[in-house]
Amino acid sequence: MPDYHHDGLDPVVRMAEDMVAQFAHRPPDDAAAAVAAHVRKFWDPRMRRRLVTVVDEGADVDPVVVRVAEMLSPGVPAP
Amino acid sequence: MSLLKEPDFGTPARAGEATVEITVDGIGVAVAPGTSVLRAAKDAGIDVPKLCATDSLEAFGSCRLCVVEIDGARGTPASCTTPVAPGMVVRTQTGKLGKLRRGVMELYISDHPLDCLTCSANGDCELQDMAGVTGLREVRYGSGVDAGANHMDLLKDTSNPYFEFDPAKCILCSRCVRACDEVQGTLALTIEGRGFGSAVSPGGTDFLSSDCVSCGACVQACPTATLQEKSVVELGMPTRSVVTTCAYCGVGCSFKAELRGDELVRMVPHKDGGANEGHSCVKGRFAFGYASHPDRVLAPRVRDSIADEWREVSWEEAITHTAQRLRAIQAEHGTGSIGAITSSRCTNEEVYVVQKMVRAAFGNNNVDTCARVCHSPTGYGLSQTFGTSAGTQDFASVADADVIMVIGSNPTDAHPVFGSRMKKRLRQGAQLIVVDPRHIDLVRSPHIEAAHHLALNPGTNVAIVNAMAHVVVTEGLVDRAFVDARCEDVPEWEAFIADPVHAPEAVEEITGVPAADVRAAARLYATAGNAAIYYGLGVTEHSQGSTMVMGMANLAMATGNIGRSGVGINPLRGQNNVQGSCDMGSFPHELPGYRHVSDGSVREVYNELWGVDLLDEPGLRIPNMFDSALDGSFRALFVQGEDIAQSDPNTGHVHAALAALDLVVVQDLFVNETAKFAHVLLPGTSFLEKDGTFTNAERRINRVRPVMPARTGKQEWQIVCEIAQAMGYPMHYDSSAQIMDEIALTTPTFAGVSFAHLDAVGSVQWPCTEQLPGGTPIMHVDGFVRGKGRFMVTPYVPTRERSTRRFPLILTTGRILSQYNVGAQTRRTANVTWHPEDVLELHPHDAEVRGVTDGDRVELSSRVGTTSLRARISDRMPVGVCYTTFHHPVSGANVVTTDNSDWATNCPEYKVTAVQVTPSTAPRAAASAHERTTVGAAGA
Repeated sequence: MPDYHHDGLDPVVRMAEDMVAQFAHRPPDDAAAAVAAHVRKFWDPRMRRRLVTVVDEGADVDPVVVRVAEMLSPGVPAP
Repeated sequence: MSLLKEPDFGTPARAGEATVEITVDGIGVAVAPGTSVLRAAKDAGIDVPKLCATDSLEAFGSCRLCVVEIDGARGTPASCTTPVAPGMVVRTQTGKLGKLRRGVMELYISDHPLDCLTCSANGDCELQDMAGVTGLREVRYGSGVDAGANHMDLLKDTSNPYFEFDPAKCILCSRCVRACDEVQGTLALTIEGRGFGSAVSPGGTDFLSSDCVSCGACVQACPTATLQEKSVVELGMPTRSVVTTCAYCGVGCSFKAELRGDELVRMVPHKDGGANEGHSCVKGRFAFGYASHPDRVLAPRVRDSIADEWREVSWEEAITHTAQRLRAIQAEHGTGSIGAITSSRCTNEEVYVVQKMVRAAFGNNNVDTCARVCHSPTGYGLSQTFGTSAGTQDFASVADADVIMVIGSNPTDAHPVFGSRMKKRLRQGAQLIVVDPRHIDLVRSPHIEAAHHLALNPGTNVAIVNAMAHVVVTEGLVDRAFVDARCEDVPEWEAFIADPVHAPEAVEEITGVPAADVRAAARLYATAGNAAIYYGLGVTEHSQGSTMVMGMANLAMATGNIGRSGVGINPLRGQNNVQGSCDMGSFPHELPGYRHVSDGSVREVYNELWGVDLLDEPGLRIPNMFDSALDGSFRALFVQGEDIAQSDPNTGHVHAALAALDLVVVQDLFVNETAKFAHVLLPGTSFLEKDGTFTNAERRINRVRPVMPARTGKQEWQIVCEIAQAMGYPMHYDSSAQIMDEIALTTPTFAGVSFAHLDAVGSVQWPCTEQLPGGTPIMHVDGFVRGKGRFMVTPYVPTRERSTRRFPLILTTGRILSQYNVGAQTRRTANVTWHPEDVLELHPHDAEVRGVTDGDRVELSSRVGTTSLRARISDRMPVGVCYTTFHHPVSGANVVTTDNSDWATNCPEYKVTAVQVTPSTAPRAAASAHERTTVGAAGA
């Protein structure tokens, strides 16, 4: 996808990192759980899949985003 | 004036029980203390002659027509300025009074042109009426030009595009001056001179050059043809009237549309309108000409490619073509490959059917609304804290506020009729805190001065609100009784906010606001009595918009400023039906009434009624639709009455996404910027043709009544239903009233709403139920909608957008009084007189160091694009911050705004863009490379 934002970030990664920053005051697992819950509630499934794919493909992302992607991976039940 | 008159009680109503009993012409009447004798007489059914009195203005006592006799009182006092007293016995019709009144009328008429038959106010002139009721039969001093010295040769002022001022017809009643002072609060008019030389003046200049904001209050107040709408002069007096609702901002003013046949002559603000109570602004009052503009598209158009010319087609062909293309795209790319955007300018009923078409006929939840780019953080933030996605008060509540905090809002420009209400309260003595980078008009205007102007750096709202809350908590200003009884998660929040990192001193460097000012403002807010917060897009359109909404809710709860008149959290909504479009289930994760799609019991209501199996997963939001268009998973978009190509951020991104779609269907009045990317153009109806409801910022559901037949031959909801049917989903209503009936049937907060109920009571504020048929002016009175109010931890996280050496300034965007949103409507009216182009406001220092002088054309560049505007040097701006509006596509402010967005809702961060400004030599700078490419491909 062309980089219309000129920051080199995939939109789903930028959004996920923005959310992680909001929960940075929490322990990483808590933060990841909060972001994953928000994503489940507000994101179209294709965006969730894309986040998981982008992280799986090794994108350079915040470790909490990696944890979020794990929580959103197929087969991982929502809490 | 208004030909189709509402009762005029002469002086304003007074609050309180009707405990004062008097007798007027033998008729007993009881009124509230402080009521004038004139008004009490009207209550008793007796019209006392009057000219300078009208019930929108305080009594003035100048015309001497309303004189009465009162037992035990000397002389003949003016009934307008005489308050009632217990047991008062009043006579309004005696020989003595009749003689006095005729004498007064003789003097008036001796200096008034006797051209009644050719006067534009013929039949709508109170002077003419009073000559009749006083029995004037002769003028002993002569009349007209034969009466000696007079004012009849004074010249008209026709400078204002909408009304004219003819001083020759002025009777110096001062109603216009007082309306400007008391109702509008601009104080643009005055009486200049003394004695015979006295004259109404807009400050020694003509109306157009004056401080006049063209709200029309003076025209409305004038009892003669002195101030008259040009449309009345040109067309003549209207003959019929329809009460309806303005389609501009979220104030939702009620108007009488006054017509001759199907020709709209004028819009007159409705005294019984709950939102505006007889006031108006330049847009609602005068800027309706776009509805009959020759640019209106009146027949459907189709084309295969956006490079092709449009082809006019029948409704049947347009609808069939649209439905077939949508289904074909779904067949090839999947159910989720299509979606729609609903409009905050359309009625609740029109919005409801679009979201229903998406969920039931498209079979997905890819529906979003333009609230995404304005107040979606309000929905999220207030839902999290209070339990519902709406403001807490009615507009009238501001009259009980002791301190008013305006955050990121410029109500005198963006919500002018509410702004006038607010200014009235401020002139009465309420204190004001303004939180805004710019020195907006409210900071200092006639008889108003903010106690504190916290001119923060753009993007630091959360740091400021946290600092204020820190002061409240650490200085013992928490309303402990309220918090203990009505809130939860209190200890966690107090521990968070009491951390010294939130102290005003600690964040001073971030916010740029002296800590002492923040502390003083916090103490004022917490201790002044009733404290109310009013906010706008300066709160929501940030990467922390939702956090800021929750931060304000925290502050209000901590100080107990929720649940009664005079307090609350009040979003000032941008467009006329932003609240309603959100209420109607326009968000991809929510069904009508803000109920999540994952809630099986709610889905079941619709599954049963609609005969479908609704998806339980959220769909795409608008920015996600653009990204998905570019990655190929989203292929078709139905756009109802929005111009996303102009209004949404990072124009290059939006245009590329639109150009990537296989099908764009636009339903609109005009070939707007988005229509340049469309394959189907479905002509829409103006608000004058619609039949439905709008819901304003105070949750008030107002009727929108058809003033004239739909010029396109179809209501917009009919078109949507026909597309759904052509797609194979049965969707039919006999009327828009039937749609509201379905909304009421399925949405608990609307359960008591129907067209019949609204027609009977005027308007209601939701929740409106069987138990609450009158609606709910103030929410959370005894408890929060979610039970207990929830304190939320609100860390300050700086925006990604940073100023650098390359982009050293911060651009913030907004709107001005005379224009509205993308300008599609107002640019097609005489409002362009005031704002013919968007300009870039710059601080004198920032201009000087760049060699820019006032009026120069400059190039405005950001990381995502470049455009060109004319510079306006303004000390309203702080150093390092510049400002522009987005009303004109030619300048395209959103060419430079970015995709940064609110973390919770994706509401774009329009308010913070790092930019550079340089002198420009080009007459019209180009937009971004993306835009050039995209617009060129569109053939635009």
